[in-house]
Amino acid sequence: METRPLPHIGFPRVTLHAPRWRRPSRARLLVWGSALLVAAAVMLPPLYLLLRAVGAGSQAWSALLRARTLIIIGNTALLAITVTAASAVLALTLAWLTTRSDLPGRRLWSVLTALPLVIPSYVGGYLMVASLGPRGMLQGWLEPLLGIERLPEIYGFPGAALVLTLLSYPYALLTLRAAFQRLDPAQEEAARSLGRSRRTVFLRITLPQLRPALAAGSLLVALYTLRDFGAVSIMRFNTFTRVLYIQYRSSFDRSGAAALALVLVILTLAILAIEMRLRGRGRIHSNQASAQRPPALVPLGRWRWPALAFCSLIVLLSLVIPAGVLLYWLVRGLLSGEVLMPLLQVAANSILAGTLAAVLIIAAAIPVAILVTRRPSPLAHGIERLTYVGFALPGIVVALSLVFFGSRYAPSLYQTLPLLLLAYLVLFLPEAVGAVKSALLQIHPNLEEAARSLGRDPLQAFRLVLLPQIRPGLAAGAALVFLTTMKELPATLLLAPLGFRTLATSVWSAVEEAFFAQAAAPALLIILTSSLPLAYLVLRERETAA
Amino acid sequence: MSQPAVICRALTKSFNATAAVHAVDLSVPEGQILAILGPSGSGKTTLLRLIAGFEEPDHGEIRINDQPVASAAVFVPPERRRVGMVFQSHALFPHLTVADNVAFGIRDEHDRHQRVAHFLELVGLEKLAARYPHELSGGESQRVALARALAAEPVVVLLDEPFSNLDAELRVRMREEVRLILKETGTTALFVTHDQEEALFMGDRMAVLRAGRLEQEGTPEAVYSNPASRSLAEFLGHAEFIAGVVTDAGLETELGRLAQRVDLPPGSVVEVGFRADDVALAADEAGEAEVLARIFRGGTTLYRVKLPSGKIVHSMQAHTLTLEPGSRVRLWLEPHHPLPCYAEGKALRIHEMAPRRH
Repeated sequence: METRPLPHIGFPRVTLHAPRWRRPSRARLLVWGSALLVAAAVMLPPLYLLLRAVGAGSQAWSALLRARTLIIIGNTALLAITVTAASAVLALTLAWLTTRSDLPGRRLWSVLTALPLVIPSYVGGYLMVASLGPRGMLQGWLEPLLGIERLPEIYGFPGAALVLTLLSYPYALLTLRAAFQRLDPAQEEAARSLGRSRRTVFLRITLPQLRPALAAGSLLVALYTLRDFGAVSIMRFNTFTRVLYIQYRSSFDRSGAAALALVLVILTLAILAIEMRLRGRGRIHSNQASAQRPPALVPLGRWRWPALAFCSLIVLLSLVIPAGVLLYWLVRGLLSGEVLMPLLQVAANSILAGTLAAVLIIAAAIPVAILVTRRPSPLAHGIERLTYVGFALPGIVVALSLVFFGSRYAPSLYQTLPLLLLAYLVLFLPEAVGAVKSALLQIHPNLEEAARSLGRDPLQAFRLVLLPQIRPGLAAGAALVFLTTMKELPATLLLAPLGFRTLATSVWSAVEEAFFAQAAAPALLIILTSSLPLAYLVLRERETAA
Repeated sequence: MSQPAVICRALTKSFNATAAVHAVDLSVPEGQILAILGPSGSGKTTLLRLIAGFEEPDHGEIRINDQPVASAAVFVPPERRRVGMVFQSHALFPHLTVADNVAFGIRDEHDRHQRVAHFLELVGLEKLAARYPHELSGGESQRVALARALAAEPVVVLLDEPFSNLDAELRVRMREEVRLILKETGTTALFVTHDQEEALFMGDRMAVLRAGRLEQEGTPEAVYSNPASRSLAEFLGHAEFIAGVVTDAGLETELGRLAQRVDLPPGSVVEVGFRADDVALAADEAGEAEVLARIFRGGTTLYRVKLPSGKIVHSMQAHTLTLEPGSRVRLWLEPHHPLPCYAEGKALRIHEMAPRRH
């Protein structure tokens, strides 16, 4: 009988040995080395800021406790709360109308109401001032009719709140629309068949399940408001970011600015922490219904007309008027002989900075993404988390920290392209890591392993097998970084080499001096370039849906 | 027997303190196929990945062609082990044609074309050389994966559930084809699967891996008819057990006397393992057993029968016999080989008593 039960004897037992240390392979050294370098680079601004703030001395800290700081905190909080609340109401209404009601033209409205995403806040601010400002378009029309030379001020809180609400509600809208679409209509139908009215079902079944999405979307809006520099500066409303910029421009008290910046970072971190906690919970909710029928649409009946009027008003305010104003100033500028030639140089600068940033940041994201997806370990995840520091740092804070650092320790780098690129790296690495990671996650590790067992070393396996596969993902990530860089304002403003004007800084300086016609062409170019990724995302969504 | 191509000694690998592979000893002789049968989570894939070099063992040793490739002192990276891997997902490179996939592991430039052609012909795909993986059917991509692994002239080919992505009919055809190719080329192979039938078919030898431990190794026939433990017999399927009392004349059971002996004193009780096809059945008005259910299986019919003691057993019969539930029957064991016996769950050494009686 040829049976051999295998008791665990027969071979000498190999004794336990301590974990051996072997020289790590070249590939492993390369990946870990570059990932650590990237992590160190992105940690430079926050750590240096902390250092300066701690070393600021009691004077700076007591300055922080003065009434003025309280006013800044009050202003910032007031603005954040107002914008968030207004956006939440807008977004909830629009999300319901475009997913659950029989509103005529739902698809069109859902695209139009998402579009304000492509308008950077400083362009939005510029267009508000250029239309309703004391010497804006409205005044230009009224002057010949009524002889009004100045309109009442729109600067300050109302202007800032209006601009930021109109620009940031789409963040909450997109989150809520997704949540509405994930809800299982069978639950609502079950509640209806249990004898509840439509209103009760909405309040007791639908709304509670939307709560995580509503909270997450609202926090996104709050974060946007907190970090915003362009709109509040143009609207001359003293929140943290504007005050930081003024301090940078006017005072030599850099430690005080550092302390103030640190307070802003802490506020941002707090909101981010809440947001992450809620997002984790939201995910649990979203897993339940995958295959489901589309919900039955609620007939609006007579309410159709007010609903249409509401959507039209929002689109009018957030899209049509800005576009109209932009065209008005563009045409007016062209008619009055505004030359477009300097624009070429400025656009070339923007493209140069964007291209360099895209290449650098994607290259930096690759080792981090490889570590997390292919060699997950606590250290790898730690490094990944460090690269997300850009989410917590407003652009103005990163820029200020690098200004301080550069002027003190690296004067030869100060106001050169490399230091600007470092700021871009800190700010935009998160989206690049996200893009590269999702590209890598789509490739089964078996592919590289197959290459290895067919005799290729890790670097060859990467080059011959992995790279050709993830190239489209890398390209998409690079495009995203490029376009985000194109419209970035505060870091570019503070760190660009002298005389290096980009589209964003051109809009800024033209608006600062109320040359509205000069700002129109670069603003239009920025909006066009920002529209590209949205168009890409929409097209891709349609492709996957088909 | 020639030198083993692969040897594992006391191989152990844990993930987060759970042993995926525990003290595994095995060897694959050159030119043979060892099929490893294990349920999901038994550590089959980890075992293969350790041999291929994608995981490092915690302890133990792996030798390929008598060279240590993983031990306390050495770790040879996968690309220098000459181990061909056929993945469950096939892992064809989607950006390369069939021919380029097969050529990928051939390092020698000058006869690359000929060898690609040779191996494509071997798997019958010479016409599809210019296709891309997404243009292949499941069976075709299976063949490309095999050709790619063989073309690199590996010392051993590891196959990780290679047929599980195929539909049932194709699976049977592919395993015959793959076995034929491996045998034709004299390839040493280690094949893991959770499908018992597949393991019985593919292996020159077969081993059972459960919870990271190698429980039994032998020819497929030996493993199937004489599981080394009661729980292994249950795992291998359709196993039933009945008490047998040791007497001088053999083992007395409720299903008659068995002409076999175990090394235990008379009066000891053992568990006898049998399958439904070892049980004979005859309609008998005076019989004390009662048919509970008739389960029609196509070619055969399975009867569920209650014995006088209340124990329920199964008997496999030709589909020509039809008995309704409630019929009285007579049952007895009529095996064509000695039945395995277990005491305290462990297999006992058994001796046949000639002449065998019915």
